[in-house]
Amino acid sequence: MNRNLPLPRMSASIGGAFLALLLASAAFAAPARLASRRDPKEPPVRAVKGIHVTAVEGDSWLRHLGVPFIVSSMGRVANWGESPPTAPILAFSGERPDGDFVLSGADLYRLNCRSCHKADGSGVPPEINSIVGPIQATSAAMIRAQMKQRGAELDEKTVNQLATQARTSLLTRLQNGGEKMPPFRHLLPEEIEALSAYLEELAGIPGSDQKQILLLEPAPRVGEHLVKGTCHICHEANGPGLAVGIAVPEAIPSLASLPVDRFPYEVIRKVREGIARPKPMITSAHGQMPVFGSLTPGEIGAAYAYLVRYPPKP
Amino acid sequence: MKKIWILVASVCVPGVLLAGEIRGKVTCEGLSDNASAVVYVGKIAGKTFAPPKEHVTVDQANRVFQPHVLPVLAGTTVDFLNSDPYGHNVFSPDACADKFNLGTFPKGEKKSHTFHKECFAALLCIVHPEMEGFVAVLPTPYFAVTNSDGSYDIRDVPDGAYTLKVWHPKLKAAEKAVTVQGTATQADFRIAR
Repeated sequence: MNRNLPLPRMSASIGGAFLALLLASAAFAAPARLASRRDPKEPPVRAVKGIHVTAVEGDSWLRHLGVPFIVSSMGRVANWGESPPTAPILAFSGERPDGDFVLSGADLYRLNCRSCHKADGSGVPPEINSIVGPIQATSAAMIRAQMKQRGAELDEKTVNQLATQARTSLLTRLQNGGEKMPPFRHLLPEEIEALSAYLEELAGIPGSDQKQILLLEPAPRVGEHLVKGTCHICHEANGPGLAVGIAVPEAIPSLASLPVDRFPYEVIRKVREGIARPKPMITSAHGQMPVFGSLTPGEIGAAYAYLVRYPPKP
Repeated sequence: MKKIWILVASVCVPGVLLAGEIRGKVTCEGLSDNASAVVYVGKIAGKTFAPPKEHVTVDQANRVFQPHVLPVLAGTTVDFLNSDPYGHNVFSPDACADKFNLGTFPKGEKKSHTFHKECFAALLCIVHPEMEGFVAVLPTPYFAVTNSDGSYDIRDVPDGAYTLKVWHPKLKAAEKAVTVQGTATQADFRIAR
């Protein structure tokens, strides 16, 4: 089982036992349960084709921007919040580092966008913009409503033109990034479709509930979303790790160091609860890393496995 | 020599006397300040003005159209800049401004529109509904925008009798007759919803 996962150098046998425990705990939620648990009104699950997982590489986004971790809100806002309504699906999707995941647009948002734009999309202006206005601008219905409120009249052609322009601008921004926003080049058209549908729902666009789609994606891809969309904002792809048990202020371990220095359970605990070990050895504080309570153990496990299988590049 | 001075004086002094000034104060009832009112000389019968060749600029910075209200002579071209690190889409829903739509453009780019007709054109950004600005397209080049204390000053107005008008994005327009005769003419307004 999971022969692709090298164990941390500390103790291969203990590591193996923990990994086995982790996988066993995830494995009892078998894929077969997915069908019985899902709401019949939910859209059918589409298997995403053409996925080409690539390693995370280069500087963290904050280093790229030259912004110190301490002064930025990027990557660490509103992570205490509840999981989105679709998240329970994940719990029964047979998620495990070697299995497939069912992802909704809300899940893609949670893995790629939420750590900066917050659960409600409002961001942290002026550093991180709200996505609500730009999303609403892609809807002809919203534009008509806005103009009506102003007492202005626009012909259909102009309304549609405005909506199309706003959509093009948004997709370009997602693809190329902005001055402060990283590019999300790893997203495939179907993923963007699912994400857009959820963003529309978040922005309150009428009829968006009918557009939601579910995607079936392999675990490494889920790991790629999480690592590239969230972890890589603050963590360098390559570089030193942290010496075990010693708290170094403002040191952020590289992504490459995590599977070498830490067991999966440690990473999962650190990410979800803020504490890497049952008993912190030097400091009782959680440290500077935010807590990502909205991520599932399976997703973090998938990110760990992704880092092992696709070693981060300098 | 004396004759030359008399000649210079006879040419220049009437020129000075012919250009006056209209100034005063606009009180905007019910608003927190008296800024953004446009005070301008209305259409002068039998007189047309060539639009300036120089473009005027409206910037978009921190999601605000700057200036909030821009008065221009009809025929003026306005350059719209974007100083924000994200896209803005400038358009106007007003027919008198041809309902122009400059599309969404990124930081550092500039797009232009020529305002041909007299109009009070609202400027909007579809991406940021909170953004609103105005271009007041006017029939004469004699105009000013009030400061927050309501004061305004229109300079170099030729002597004559005019209709002085005031327009505000939120308040009812008003007008009054004024006569300019070399010196500064005082004209105050009180406008409300």
